Amino acid sequence: MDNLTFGGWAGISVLLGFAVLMLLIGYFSGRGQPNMRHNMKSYYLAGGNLGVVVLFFTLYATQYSGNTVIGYAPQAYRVGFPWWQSVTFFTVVMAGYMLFAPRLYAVAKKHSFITPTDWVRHRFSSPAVALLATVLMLWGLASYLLEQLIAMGQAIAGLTGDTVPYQIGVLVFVCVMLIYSWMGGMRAVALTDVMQGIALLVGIVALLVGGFVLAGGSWSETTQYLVEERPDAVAVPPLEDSVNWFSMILLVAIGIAMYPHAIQRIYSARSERTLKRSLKRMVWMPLITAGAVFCVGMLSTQIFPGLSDGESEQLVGRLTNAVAGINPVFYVVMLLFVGGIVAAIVSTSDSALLSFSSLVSKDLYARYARREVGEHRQVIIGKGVGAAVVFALLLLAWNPPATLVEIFVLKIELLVQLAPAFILGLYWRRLASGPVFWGMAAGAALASMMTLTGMETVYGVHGGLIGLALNLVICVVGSLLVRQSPSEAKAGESVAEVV
Amino acid sequence: MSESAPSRRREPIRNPWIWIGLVVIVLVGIPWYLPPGTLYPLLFGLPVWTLVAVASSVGVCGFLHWALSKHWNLVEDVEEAAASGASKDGSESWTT
Repeated sequence: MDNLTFGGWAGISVLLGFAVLMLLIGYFSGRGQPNMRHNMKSYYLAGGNLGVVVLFFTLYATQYSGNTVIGYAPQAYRVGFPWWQSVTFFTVVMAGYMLFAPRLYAVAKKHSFITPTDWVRHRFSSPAVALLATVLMLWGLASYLLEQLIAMGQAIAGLTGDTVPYQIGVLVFVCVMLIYSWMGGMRAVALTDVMQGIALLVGIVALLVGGFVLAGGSWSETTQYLVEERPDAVAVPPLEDSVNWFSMILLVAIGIAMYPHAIQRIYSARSERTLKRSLKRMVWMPLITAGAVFCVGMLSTQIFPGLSDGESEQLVGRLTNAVAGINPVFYVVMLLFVGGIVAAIVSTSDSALLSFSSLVSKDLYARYARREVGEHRQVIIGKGVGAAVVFALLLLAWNPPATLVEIFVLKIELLVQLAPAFILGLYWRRLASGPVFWGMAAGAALASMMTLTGMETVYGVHGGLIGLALNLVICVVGSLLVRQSPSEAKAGESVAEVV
Repeated sequence: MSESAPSRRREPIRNPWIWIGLVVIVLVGIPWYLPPGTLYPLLFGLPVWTLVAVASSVGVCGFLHWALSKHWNLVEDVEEAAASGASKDGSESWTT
């Protein structure tokens, strides 16, 4: 992000503006719900009463973050046309929800679930399965938060041209995020998501328009340039890459739908109709979001030819600067856009952090404490744990371990192992807790081992999916072989009775 | 809940044609059926296989929108009947 055409105090002013807006939303959200500090459902699920528009935007902010722009445009730049797959895999996430959300919503409303582990505990009556699921979710969420914090630092440094040191900028926004989350809980998180989602959407469209202007206004020229200079980016990919494409679609479709904060948004919906309407709008967003980001990455191959992998990571910063230099209107819009990216990263982080806090306070602290813990204390513990975790992750964020997209694959390969417990558990009464535990453990171990040894795919199939296949086999074969306990059988029956 | 409107209860997972249709549309969008390395023809400034992939993505969006609209109704009737006293139209709201 060298040679900024904007930055400095203009950037700082925009960031401060977004920060003040978030704090105001947090303040007014908290004022409207006096019981929030003493009630888990109010604090973590906004009372299970989110309407269509707010639910839509909070789902949107959960699925797309500033990182979707910062990480995926460079990926399109490096991979070329085959990266169109990103649009499909974000769309198919809605199919992932369709596999389990209808029934999980009905069961969650009936039994007042707050965390995803509530379902696991309800269905399997097994502390071991609940603990393992909680640990996997916390691991995935921590990885997710880490990724967002790294992206937040890059965006802030880019916007202010290092006028604000990287660490101070991140610290300020983390504090803003903690304060508005504490003041308004899930309601504040969801309402800030509306503001942050709109900023991201408008900014992406403006960046795309600016990119077209810089590239000469013709898509054909970009393709022709690639055909001559980088034919691999235009050509039909090898068969193994096509297998990898389909594997990525499956992995992301199931994995993103298993995000703990995504599951909690299902719980938060006011009604089935509300949830359905929000998801129907979400179905079209990949074309506008991932599709536009793909186009930005492709246009950049012509605008900034010959970038190395490392240099391409800074692509959005470079393009934003170039677009801002077109004329004063683009300058102002780009200024707001990069502020919007920071806001979008904050909006994704707050959802993950709130979910993390709920899992620790309800599923670990309240469950394993030696005495009865009231809801007021659980909320306080959740807030404290959230702050402690985010500051611990900040120390890691200041030494980023790999490129952003690689980190993203890591977390999803673990979260996808929760799928049998949710999907099979909702529809197959015979599914037993023992096989679910061992399937989840074996799937997570295999996926982790493959990633750690650098063998992320086999013939294009991701380690997470191979782990999921092993997980499924153990769940199905094991459940056919073992006898269910009476409590498990009863739980399986009760799920069927809900609908 | 089952007494209220059993004939209208629908879950997407129970209709295999939704999933078969979805997989077919997704597979059409992946260029596994063309020889690797194929560059031409280009149409509207894009390789034809990319245009097919774009059409497949739009198709997936429309298909899922339809499936969500027509094949999901578990507790909606009961909830809306219960809520009708408070709000007749179930319209969208900016409030939470």
